Amino acid sequence: MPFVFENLPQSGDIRLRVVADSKTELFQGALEGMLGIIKPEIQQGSFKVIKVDIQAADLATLLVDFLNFVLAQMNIHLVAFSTIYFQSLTDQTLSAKLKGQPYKRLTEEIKAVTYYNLKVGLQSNGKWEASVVFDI
Amino acid sequence: MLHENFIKINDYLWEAPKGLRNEMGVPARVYISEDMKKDTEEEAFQQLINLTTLPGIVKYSLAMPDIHTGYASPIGGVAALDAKEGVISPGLCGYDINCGMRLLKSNYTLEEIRPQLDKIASKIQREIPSGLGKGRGQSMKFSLTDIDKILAGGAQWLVEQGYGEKEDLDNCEANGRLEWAQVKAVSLLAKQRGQDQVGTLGSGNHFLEIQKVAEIFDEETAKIFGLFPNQVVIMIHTGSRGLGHQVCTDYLKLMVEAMNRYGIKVPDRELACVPFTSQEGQDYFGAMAGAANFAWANRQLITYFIKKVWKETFGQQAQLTSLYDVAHNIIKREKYSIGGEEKELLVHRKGATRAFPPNHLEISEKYKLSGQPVLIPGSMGTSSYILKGVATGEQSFYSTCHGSGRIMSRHAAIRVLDPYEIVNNTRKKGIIVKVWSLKGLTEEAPQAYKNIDEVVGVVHKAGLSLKVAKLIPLAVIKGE
Repeated sequence: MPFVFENLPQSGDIRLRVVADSKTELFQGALEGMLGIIKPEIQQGSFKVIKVDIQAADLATLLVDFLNFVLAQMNIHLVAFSTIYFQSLTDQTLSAKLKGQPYKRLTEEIKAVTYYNLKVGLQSNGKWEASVVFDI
Repeated sequence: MLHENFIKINDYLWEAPKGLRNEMGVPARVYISEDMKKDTEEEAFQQLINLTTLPGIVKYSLAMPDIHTGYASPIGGVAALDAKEGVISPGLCGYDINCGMRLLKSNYTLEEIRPQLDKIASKIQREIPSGLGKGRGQSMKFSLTDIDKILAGGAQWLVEQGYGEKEDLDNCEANGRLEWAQVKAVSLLAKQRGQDQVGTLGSGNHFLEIQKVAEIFDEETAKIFGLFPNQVVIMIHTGSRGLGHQVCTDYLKLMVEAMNRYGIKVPDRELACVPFTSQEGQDYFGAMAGAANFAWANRQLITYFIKKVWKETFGQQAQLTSLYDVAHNIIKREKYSIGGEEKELLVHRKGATRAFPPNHLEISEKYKLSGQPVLIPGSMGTSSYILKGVATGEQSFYSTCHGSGRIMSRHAAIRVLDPYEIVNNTRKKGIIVKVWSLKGLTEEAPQAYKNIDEVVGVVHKAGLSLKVAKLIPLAVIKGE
């Protein structure tokens, strides 16, 4: 699941592009990409698992809503959720468990995952691709 | 080039006519000098024009001279929507609801406190959490019940609990509390994110600065404001932290889905909106007011801790009094005369500061003669300004600029600027720098921003607000 960061001129924010072989890998890659932005300093502690159930109008919105949900949970629990155990993933629903470890501090703070120039979909080469902008 | 379609009205005002794009309901206007206009990104102008397509927009969409690309609206954007017929848009308030400024005045000159300056800057840095995702921890984690009280009561509730004085509220926009806040409209997630963030600075461009009054342009008003040459003041810049971000995220999601039901189409999903009179619109307005109250409480608690440090250092007789506290990301109901008829408008300000004129009903008695104090921060290590609201500001729905306006991305700043050189240059000017990370410092270097003197020069000459005093930094305390 390769992902790359692009820095947006002048706004100071970051665009994440993820390419994956499947929808589930795309979501996992986007999560890893987001962690790559905030770079949590992991500290010793027991793993935490939480449940996530999200509904949205389409796949692109679902991805943004998912990432925003994880961002909020990381903020509240001070846990860097890094692994998704999918129970189901459609274009409009996601049901999964998230697992992560406590963190001491973040290297970057994300205000929100935005809908700005959002692109998520299956490409003609059979790869799933997402382009998501983070408000830093 | 899109900016070339903006026709000159005068040296500091340019207009894109209504017909430039079919879907424009009104013209788009930008207050800017010709040179600054050429240097502004095309996308910022595009976003300004997008605002003209909002249902119910009145007169024109507006941008201040610190305009730069944002989400939905450019930063520095203002749009007034008819409260009966128009929409409300969370993107036009932004993720950091009630991000704003507060200025505290001391009764000391620089010479009187110079020997203690470094010490007090260090103490303030230690007292106010300013890191990434950092809260006050368990030492000051508010219960969800208390968060509800903050959402409803804002800075007023904190003052009632002993964290400040009545005077702090008298010198604050809306007296630190929007009474139409709806606690129930704020999600549990948002409340949880706010529990340990009251009294915290946050990261990015948020900062605390110890400054001195370097120049006074308007002596009469400076006297009313309690300002004198060489006076030491403290500027606070922060907002509603994670709670506000979550309120915006929650309602953007809701409005993206709800828009279709109201038959509303917008050119950018970040501009999602619903009729103000709809249930969704009213809920967002109530939640936004709650987040705004949270931000005022945040700046109030920061004030409390700064005052505590100040008295510990200089003794109980040492005073810090609030000049004013004003939001630059907010949506307010305000009345204006439109075509000879008084109308209630929903004024969305995103990176724009309210600047009410003398005798306006919504400013305190103290400032009735002078007009509302307007607080405009410069970039790190550069000047900041105190201005006042004036009657000619009605042309911009009594809105003015909010800061310098970014011209270089954070990444570009890190790539091309040397943090040690920035620190050295800042220190050469005699400014004390207290930062937890060099990265945060480089991102906010003055080279990454427009020249504040030019930005403030435009709003002054355009008559949106008038210069009262110039402040220069003595010590900068920044988040990461």
